[in-house]
Amino acid sequence: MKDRSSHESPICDADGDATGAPAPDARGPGPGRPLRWLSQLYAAHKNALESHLRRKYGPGPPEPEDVVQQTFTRLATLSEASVAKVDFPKSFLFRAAENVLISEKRRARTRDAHAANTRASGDAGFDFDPERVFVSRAELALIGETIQNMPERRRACFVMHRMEELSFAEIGRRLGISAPAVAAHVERGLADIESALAAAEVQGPRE
Amino acid sequence: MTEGDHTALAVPHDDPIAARARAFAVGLSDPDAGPELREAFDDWLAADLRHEVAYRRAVRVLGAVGDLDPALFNVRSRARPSFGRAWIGAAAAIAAALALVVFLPRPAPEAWSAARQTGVGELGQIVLADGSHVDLGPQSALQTDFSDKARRVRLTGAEAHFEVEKDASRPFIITVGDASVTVLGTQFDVKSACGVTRVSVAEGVVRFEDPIGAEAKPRELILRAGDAAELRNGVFSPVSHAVDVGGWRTRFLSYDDVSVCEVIADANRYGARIDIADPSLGALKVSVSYSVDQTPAMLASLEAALPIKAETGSDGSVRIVAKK
Repeated sequence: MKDRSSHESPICDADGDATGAPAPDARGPGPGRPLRWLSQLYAAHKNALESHLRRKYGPGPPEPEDVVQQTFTRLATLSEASVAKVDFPKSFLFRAAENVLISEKRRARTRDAHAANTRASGDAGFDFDPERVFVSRAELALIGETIQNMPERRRACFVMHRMEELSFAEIGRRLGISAPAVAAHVERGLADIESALAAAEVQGPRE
Repeated sequence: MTEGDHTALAVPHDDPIAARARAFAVGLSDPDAGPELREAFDDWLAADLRHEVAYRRAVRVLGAVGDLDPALFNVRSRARPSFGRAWIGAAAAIAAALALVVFLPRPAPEAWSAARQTGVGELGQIVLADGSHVDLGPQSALQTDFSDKARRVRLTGAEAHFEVEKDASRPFIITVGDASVTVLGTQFDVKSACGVTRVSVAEGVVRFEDPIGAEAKPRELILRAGDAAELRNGVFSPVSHAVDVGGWRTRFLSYDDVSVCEVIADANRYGARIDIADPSLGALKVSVSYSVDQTPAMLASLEAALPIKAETGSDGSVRIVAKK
């Protein structure tokens, strides 16, 4: 894993900038594009995101509604240059929200343990860290290549699960295998991709 | 806790932690995933910061896949009629209750009907008529005989995880080998392998009893949530370390100080073909964790930890022999 300081193109350069104003960047402050982008995202996906988090992680804590609010609040701190790099706003938003949720779980635990000084503004950088949320086009291409090279059944399970969003039971019915076998195929496919990404990182960036 | 702490934690993609993270990331993204998986996830996530690092990576990769065009991948998805989803909130309805684990003579054959049988490497999920959930390990079979007086199930093979609906008027009685486990409503694992019967409790209270134990020895143990104990040759021994009850359901097997015999018997149920040349090697104790599709890595761990050698034959089967 690379060190944070080595990121060439951080999606979030707003560490410690929790004022909500887009940080200046190389291209100069934009004419409010991030906020317009954000309100469009909010209108389009707020409800779907909340029910997605509820279905996947349950009613909380943290409550899905709070996670959605926090995600948008923190997205407001992204610079225009960062926003411009986001090719797929919806999936970026969903991934970012999951990262916020994971951080909230940790923060709740450390609060429970009476640990002091959780850093609310600093964590925005962590949750939107390129290594955790942003996926470059080169990485996406490698992911696509890896899926194409999967054995047929693994690829079928993986694609049907990730892109058609079918339940494992439904995929199993269509392919004539059990639901746990579908889960095992999807896990294996995910392992293939992680391994391909790790190998590419060792060889150096493909960009 | 600072950001630096997280980024300094590297979890290689082939680490068992990464495999477990993938199992959770994939399992939780199944629309049919139940609350018990979420609870297991919360516990796991809280246990170690490396778990969080590995899970974030898995979520990132899975999320990115959704950005790709499915048409790229030439997948024929033959839609068959769906029979609707069995959405069972069993765990929510489970109340902590007293369970009795009593070793009794095997009951006389009754009106058993087969509920489910699993093959090598296959896991099975069953929802019984009373709403109880059973996860069946590989090479195991479950039969049921439900009446107004009792809910009887018979487990043949090795392993199952039960989440029993509370019904005080009809005890839930599990027969496994020569043991009988009576339950009012709780969650626990029962496992029988290599001469050891182990009960690991996730929820509720279990009395683990051995009526044929020797006079001078304790004949029962009270197990509460988080406890586990083993019975071998009439002797109880508590399992002191934390047991991941039902963890095997994510196809990730985790052992702490168990016999090589048990580790290998389980691997074979998941499709490996491993033979132990000498029973004394099977009695060696070991701690190991692996994803069931990583048997070679498990064998390498055993070789590193113990004076044994795994020899692979030309047909792919493996023989465990003493290291010379």
